[in-house]
Amino acid sequence: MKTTRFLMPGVTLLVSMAVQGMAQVKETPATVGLMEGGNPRGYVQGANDQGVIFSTSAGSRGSLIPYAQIRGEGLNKLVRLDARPEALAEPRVLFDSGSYAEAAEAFGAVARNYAIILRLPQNFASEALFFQAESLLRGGNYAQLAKVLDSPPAATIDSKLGEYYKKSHEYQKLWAFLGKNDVEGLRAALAAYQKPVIGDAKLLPAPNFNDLPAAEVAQLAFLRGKVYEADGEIDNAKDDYYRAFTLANGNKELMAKLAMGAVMLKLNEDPLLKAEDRAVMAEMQSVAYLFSKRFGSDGMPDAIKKFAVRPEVARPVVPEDAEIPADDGPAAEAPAESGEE
Amino acid sequence: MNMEWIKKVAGRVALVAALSIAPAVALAQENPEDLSVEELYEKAGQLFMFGNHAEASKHYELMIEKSGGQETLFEDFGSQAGGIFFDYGMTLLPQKRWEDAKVAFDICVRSDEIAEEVESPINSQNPRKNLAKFQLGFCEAQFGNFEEAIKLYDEYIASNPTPEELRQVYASYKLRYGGALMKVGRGPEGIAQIQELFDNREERGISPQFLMQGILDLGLAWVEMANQAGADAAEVEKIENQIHEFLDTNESVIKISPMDQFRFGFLERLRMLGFECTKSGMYNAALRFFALAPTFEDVRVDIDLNLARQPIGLEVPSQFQQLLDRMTQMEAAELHPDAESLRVIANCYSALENFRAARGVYWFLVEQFPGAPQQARAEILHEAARLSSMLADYPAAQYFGEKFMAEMPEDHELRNNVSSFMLQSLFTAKQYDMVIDISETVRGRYEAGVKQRELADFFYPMSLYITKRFDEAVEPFAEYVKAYPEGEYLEGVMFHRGSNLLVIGKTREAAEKYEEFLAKFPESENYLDTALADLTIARFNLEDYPAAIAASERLQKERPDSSQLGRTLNITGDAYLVQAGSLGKDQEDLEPGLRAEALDCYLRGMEASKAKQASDEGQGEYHKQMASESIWKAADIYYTDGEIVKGIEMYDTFFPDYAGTTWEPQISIFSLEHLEGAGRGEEGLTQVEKMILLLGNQPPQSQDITMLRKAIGSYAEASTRIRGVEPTVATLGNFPGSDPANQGLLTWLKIQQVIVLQESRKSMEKDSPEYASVESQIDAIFEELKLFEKRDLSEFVLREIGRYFAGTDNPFRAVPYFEELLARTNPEAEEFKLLAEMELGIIEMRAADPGKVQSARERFRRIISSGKDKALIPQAWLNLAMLHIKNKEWSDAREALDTINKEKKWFQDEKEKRAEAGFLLGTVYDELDDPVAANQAYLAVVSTYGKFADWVTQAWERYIPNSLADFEKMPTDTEEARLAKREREIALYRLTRKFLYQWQNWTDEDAPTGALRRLRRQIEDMKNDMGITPEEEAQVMSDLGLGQE
Repeated sequence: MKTTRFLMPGVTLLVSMAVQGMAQVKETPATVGLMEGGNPRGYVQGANDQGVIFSTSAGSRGSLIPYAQIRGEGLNKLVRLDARPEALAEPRVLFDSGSYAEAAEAFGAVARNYAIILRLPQNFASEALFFQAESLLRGGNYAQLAKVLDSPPAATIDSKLGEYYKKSHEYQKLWAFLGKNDVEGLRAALAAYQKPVIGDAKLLPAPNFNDLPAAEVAQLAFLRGKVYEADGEIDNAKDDYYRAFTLANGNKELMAKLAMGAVMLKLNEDPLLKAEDRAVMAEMQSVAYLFSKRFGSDGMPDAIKKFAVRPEVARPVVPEDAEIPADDGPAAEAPAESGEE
Repeated sequence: MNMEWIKKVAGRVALVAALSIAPAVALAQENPEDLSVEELYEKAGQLFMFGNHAEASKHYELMIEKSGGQETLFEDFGSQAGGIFFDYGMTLLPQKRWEDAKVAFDICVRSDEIAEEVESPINSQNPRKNLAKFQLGFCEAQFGNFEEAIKLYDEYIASNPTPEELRQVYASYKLRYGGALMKVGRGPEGIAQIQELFDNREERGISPQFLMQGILDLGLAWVEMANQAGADAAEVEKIENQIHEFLDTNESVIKISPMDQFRFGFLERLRMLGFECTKSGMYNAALRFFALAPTFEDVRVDIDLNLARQPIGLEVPSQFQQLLDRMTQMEAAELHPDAESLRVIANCYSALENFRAARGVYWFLVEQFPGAPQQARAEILHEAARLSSMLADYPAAQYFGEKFMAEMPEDHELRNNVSSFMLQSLFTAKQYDMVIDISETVRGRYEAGVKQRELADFFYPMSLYITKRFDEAVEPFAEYVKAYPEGEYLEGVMFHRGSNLLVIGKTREAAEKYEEFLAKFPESENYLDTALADLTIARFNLEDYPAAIAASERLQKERPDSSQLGRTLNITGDAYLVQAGSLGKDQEDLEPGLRAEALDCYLRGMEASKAKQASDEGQGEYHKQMASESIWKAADIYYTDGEIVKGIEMYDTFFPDYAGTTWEPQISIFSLEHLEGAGRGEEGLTQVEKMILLLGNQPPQSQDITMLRKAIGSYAEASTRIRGVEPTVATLGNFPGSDPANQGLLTWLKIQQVIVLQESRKSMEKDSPEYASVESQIDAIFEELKLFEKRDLSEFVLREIGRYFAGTDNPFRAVPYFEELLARTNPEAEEFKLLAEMELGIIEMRAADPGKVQSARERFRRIISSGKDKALIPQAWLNLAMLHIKNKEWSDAREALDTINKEKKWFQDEKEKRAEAGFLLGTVYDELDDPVAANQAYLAVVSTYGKFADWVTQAWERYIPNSLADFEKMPTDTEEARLAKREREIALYRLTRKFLYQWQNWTDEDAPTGALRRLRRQIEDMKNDMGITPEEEAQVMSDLGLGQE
């Protein structure tokens, strides 16, 4: 995917709080599963930490049904909101297609329009807020992400949504520090993800991260790279930026682009590059060339673009024992061959 | 048989598929043997539709068997039976049963022909015989028969399939056809075919999943093309560029969620494709393909978010659960699939020489996958250590290396490599003992000269050298040079080999090794200047002054800015000075020139060192020392040559900038008289007072007693002149700034008081009151000295005071100090006791008292039998020999002297003592009435120690009568015998003449025993006694090249 911009986190998104398409709803149709039996249909007019305000007829004043009287444990209270599939359908399509700016706006609108259900367990307004944040994160709009997460309704992502959201939301919060340019806050938050530097670990230039999957370490590394960069610890910053675009295969396009850009900028400041040191030249070439191929070279500064040449390599260097087993896993589902008989 | 059932069954299959998946389970549970042919056909179709391909195949096979085989089917249904084989073939494709599928589709293609060959042909149509060509082509492609495949695809298109059929097979056709074209080298045509697929994706409704499949197929075709290109880098680059261009154009249309990537198997295929690309040398393409692949965690998060969308209260749907189960199963592999991918990614970056990127990945793998299979784990740790080492992050290399050492077996093939990376790390971290330990292990594992051992062979002697285990380093340094004549570290090793030899005093070898180094690396960037500087020192120490100067001049020429220059110029100045001081009388005119050269060196050395004081960071103090040496030595030359003003200018240059350096005492003490002459006596005295305190307050083991004595002596003399006797004696008695507890210094000052007083009384009448006053002062000082507790003096001070007194006219004053040393029982005293024995023995051997002589003899024997102080043993033997001679114990004396004679290394630095021992041996043989042996000893002295005039002349003086006595014993009864005797006489005369000519410049001072004088006088007597004729005399002179006298 080519872009003409260099090292910028995508388009700037302005989330408008204006009503789009529909006004804020006063009540929304739902079915409530009661402990004593029965599944009355009616309208949810609001919710708080004690229960849901429910009316069996539209427009009538509802009464509070305590959660204790509703079937389901914990957050899994049986309150089925009819509007959920329809309200989230379009934003989800935008999200799945990678149109994150538009998706963020659309999810934001859902959260806003259905603000009356924000206190309800597993409500889709909080779900929409979560996906608004996720869309802003994936779109690289970290400043707006920080604003959304700092808004009072965002607290319901933690309090009202289930386990599936927890981990992703923790990472959203970390990225929000970047959006606020709060290096100290980020440093403090990252400390919880790092192992203590004791014993042999003192030999390493930077602390190890906790035992986490590569995709998470890649994110943490990018963020820590920012801290190291702010501290002037350039080698450590470069190490972390490299982790950001290698450990998760470099499959997070935006993060890979940002991290590769950061590495190139740091290498470009290295006096050894000007002295044409072979190792630094090779390092720069490998990043610049891959960057130009993956993201295009139009927006690259000339000082860096000149290094975007294919490094000469010998082949093959793959050790014979490094075979990736082709058929060691269970057979995958075959994609439907559209058109075959 | 009714042919219609085939059509009906085919129709029902589609219907069943549309209704529910439940029957699929039921279908598989029925016993096929119980089913009819029609039911088998129907159920085979249903199983296929539900994706149970293997069961579907079995049902078809059973159905064909039950029908009576292929021939019966064609008998019964005619060409239409080909359709059964088409359906059967379709169940085989997903199972990759290519051979069976090929047979099935081939039957379908030839269905008309087969139908005509049966006994009773039936007229029917097989509408799928052309489509079968398309599938048959696909089968051919699986066997690498791409030309045949293309031919079949072309035939299929040429058969004018219906638009509906074409629409249905469009995507597969484009993929297969494009792929086959690429395989036969028609790359651009092939890519264009597949590009069409992407371009028409919306119009044709082609899913991203299918497009992804297109990319994967294309990718493998590119890999195969790259493999065929082999080592043709340009061709591989061209292919890789095609990949990049294709991905640039189409990557954006294949957005597939991580869950779907996993579900459809794309994740695995992308990993495989990335891996294949690396094997073809297309590392950047590999990295791009990997970037399309999610990690397992990405998949899991995606599944979580999908599950979160499910209605509240719903259990995890089975299709998600199946995916989760499948993931769990795959993640249970010995090495996690993500880790496998990361190994390949790291390898890509490593091949691209981006070591930091690769190190980051291996570092992660080390920490996150500690349970990886041993071989993979070893490689990961090895690479992490290797790359850290390459990044000069040696502590990290050590970290990973230590993990390797702890986890891997002793005989692991990578162990040595890792040791090497750690060696670098440990060496840089100055952990030399560990470097030595590891090196010894590595050296024990390989033969010298193999690459795996080279680093250890380098670091081993280097660590020994740095830890000052110089003797142990000699052999391994030499071994490296021999084993790795073109080794990577040869330059450093050859240099340090020379340096090591220089340190341990093997000066000649050091000089030779430095010269070998300079021959091998004449332009060494790192070591040329130091090698030349050290060579200058080595040659100087070998007294080869021209060679020292030549090395220095090369340094000045080739490295004029070297930080070694100051030091080397000082040594060069010394070389010129020594040469100037050792000139023969016929070369005296050269002396001023040599001294001028020396002065020039010191002055240039001063400037060089001054310049480096500011510019050579961290070495300022060293250069300050060098500059101070230059200044002092230049001053010394000026003083010696009478250029006092310039000497004092040097003094003024020295102070205050170079105060505190090693050379401050010298310049202070030796400038004193000149400062006095310039009217700056008080200033000079004040400065020397500081030096007396400085020298006197040094720890005993590093105290320069000679310099202290000189300082006190010079000070006292100058002070007497400048201030007078009484103030001088008073100052020495109460020296400003001295520590009352420093009894060593106070002892010297007291002694100096005595000397000043003794000097002063020389000008007095012995019976004058002044003289008596002085005497009483001297007595008082000795009384005070007695008060000094010898017990409070250190062993070193005791020894030094003892030595001082032993060297004076009254050596007996030394006795109490040496006896105090011998009486001590503390361990520190041990090293001084043998010397005390020696000095006491020397004092005692002068006595007439037999008891004292016997005591001396025992002392010398104790020194010899102890063997602890090897430096004293030769002198002990010599003293013992002299005692035996004194007591006329000739055999014992011979034994002692013969011992010295045989131990060639003894008295290496005191050759005159060897000459003395040799001469004494000759005298002992004379006493033993063995003139032949005596003459051998004398001749050895004359021939070996020619520069020691007194011993040489004494030896020759004694050689002559022995020889003459020997001649007298020769027979004279025949003319030949008389002639032989005469020849020996003439030879003796000739030699005596020759020696006297050689010794013509020696004076009686050179030979105080008078032997030279006597020989000169006796030569004429000898001539007369021997009856040397004028002709014989003329011949002798002619032989010696001296002409007739």
